[in-house]
Amino acid sequence: MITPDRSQLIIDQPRLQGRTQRVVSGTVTAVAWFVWAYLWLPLATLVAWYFGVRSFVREVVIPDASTVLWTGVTYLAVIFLLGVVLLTWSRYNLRRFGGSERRAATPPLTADDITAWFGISHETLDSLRGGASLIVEHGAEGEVEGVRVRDPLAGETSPGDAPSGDATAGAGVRDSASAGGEKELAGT
Amino acid sequence: MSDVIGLFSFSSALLDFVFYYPLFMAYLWMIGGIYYYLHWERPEKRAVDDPPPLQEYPFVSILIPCFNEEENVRETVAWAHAQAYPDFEVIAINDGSTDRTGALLDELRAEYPRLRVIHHARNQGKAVGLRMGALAARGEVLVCIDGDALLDPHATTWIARHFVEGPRVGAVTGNPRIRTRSTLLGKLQVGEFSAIIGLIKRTQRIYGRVFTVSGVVTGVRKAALHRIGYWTPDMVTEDIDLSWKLQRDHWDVRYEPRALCWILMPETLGGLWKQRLRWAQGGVEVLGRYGTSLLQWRRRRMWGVLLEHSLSVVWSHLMALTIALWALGLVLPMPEPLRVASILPEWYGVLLGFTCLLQFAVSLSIDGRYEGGMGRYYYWMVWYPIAFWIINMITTVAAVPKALLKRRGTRAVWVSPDRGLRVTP
Repeated sequence: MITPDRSQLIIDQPRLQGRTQRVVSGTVTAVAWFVWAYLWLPLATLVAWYFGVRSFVREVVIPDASTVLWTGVTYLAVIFLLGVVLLTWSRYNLRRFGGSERRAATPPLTADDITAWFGISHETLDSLRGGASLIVEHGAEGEVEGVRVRDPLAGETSPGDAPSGDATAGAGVRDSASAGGEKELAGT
Repeated sequence: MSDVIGLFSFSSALLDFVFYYPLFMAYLWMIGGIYYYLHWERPEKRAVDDPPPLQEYPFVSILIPCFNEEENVRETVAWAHAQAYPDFEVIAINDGSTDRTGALLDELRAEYPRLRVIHHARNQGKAVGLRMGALAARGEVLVCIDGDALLDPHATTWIARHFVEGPRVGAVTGNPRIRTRSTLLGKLQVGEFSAIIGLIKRTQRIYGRVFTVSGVVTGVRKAALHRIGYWTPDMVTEDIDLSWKLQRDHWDVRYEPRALCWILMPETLGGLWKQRLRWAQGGVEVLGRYGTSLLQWRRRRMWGVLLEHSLSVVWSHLMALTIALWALGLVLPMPEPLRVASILPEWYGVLLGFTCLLQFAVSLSIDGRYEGGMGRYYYWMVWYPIAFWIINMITTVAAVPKALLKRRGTRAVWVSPDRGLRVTP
């Protein structure tokens, strides 16, 4: 029997991979960092220039200040606009639909609904719900063709409508909770 | 002459779109993530281990479809069975496994009294497995997890809470946390799930509809499932399909970052490629099947996610085209209108680098509360958002023909990519 233990969840054991793989991963990460740092080159150059490092490796095209300013303002405006659109839409939906249930609550599923949809008999549904170990045979389209109960649920004959009187304590609790849950959920 | 001008402006507009779409989407996700956090996560201040008491505790059926999971199923059942929730059952569906999964599950019944096992005589695929689980389930609320996923002890309470409080909630998607972190690919996915997927999910909740629940940990209301015809056996990703069908039928799909589920992910390039290609194909399939039906005014809440998803498919193709034109320009003299001088303008690069950094900072501050020590993985992936878009581009371009050429009605089959590196328990 396994006891769930959160401290065992994370598997971070680089030793499980081969040496080659470890080297490749390290290299790829280093290269990726280099590429990422490279993205910053224009800025680094600019800063270097500002401090008078004229012999920098390369010269970047420095747009004039008004262009930089204008581009920055445009980006910020676009981001701001996106935010406004997103939040307005969210607020609209919250006001329009929040807190009110416009559609009637879906009625609880009945055994008839389910058997009709799956094309099975009530007996089959009872077997499916009442088995602790089952074998199901399917047709070509995945439809249920037969159900064999290898082992019924302890203390239950037909879980959907088991009389609460003769069910075992555990099963009785499950049954009432199940039926109650369906009613409550569908009715709220 | 006017043709040339037309072409020229086309190519510069193309470049603008290709460069700025991912950039501005990153900011949109950050804004959405922060807003979601301030609106829904921060005010409550409840830790993962401290869910509030519910008005009622509906009976929950935890469904675990399994195909050849002999290495994982013991752990999965043990964790599912350890839910801190008063009333639930665990239903494992053994979908005609060819290994010892079936025998193991039957053995486990002796140890775990809430466990029920359904054996399929022959393999039917995950969607049919889930359908059988729903059919056998005695609960109105179903929590569906994968055969190798470990459900955190309070996850069921966090998920059930949405169904109790919101009668229009059709599904709740949890927060998958990656266990396999030994390799670079594993570490990158840790970052991807927290910094990109987490932010995207939150943003999508803000615009009302989500692109997909995570199939690995999803709660579903049975009555909602019934209305939409359960899981579709011929869609390659049953979770994306389920999300679109539910929301098309006006059901709410929520995200619950505190419903943790610990998952294994591929740690080889081949495994990752297979998985991502399948995800991309699933996305294209729903677009084809439900896209036009969502254009009606009364389905307008889907427009946000529809627009985002359609744009990302268009972007992938335009980006591929841009790279192709640029590469062609390296070896051939290109006519001016089609010439792509550089695929990374200098100042745009600075902006991109800065955006990656900011995105990780935002996600770390939001997501860090669900798992400590995430910061150390950031060394491996500050550049990852760029890779994310490139992977997105490649898989989408490859997935479109696959989705278009697939014959409708072809049953989806189990795909089990590798599950990362670990010493099997």
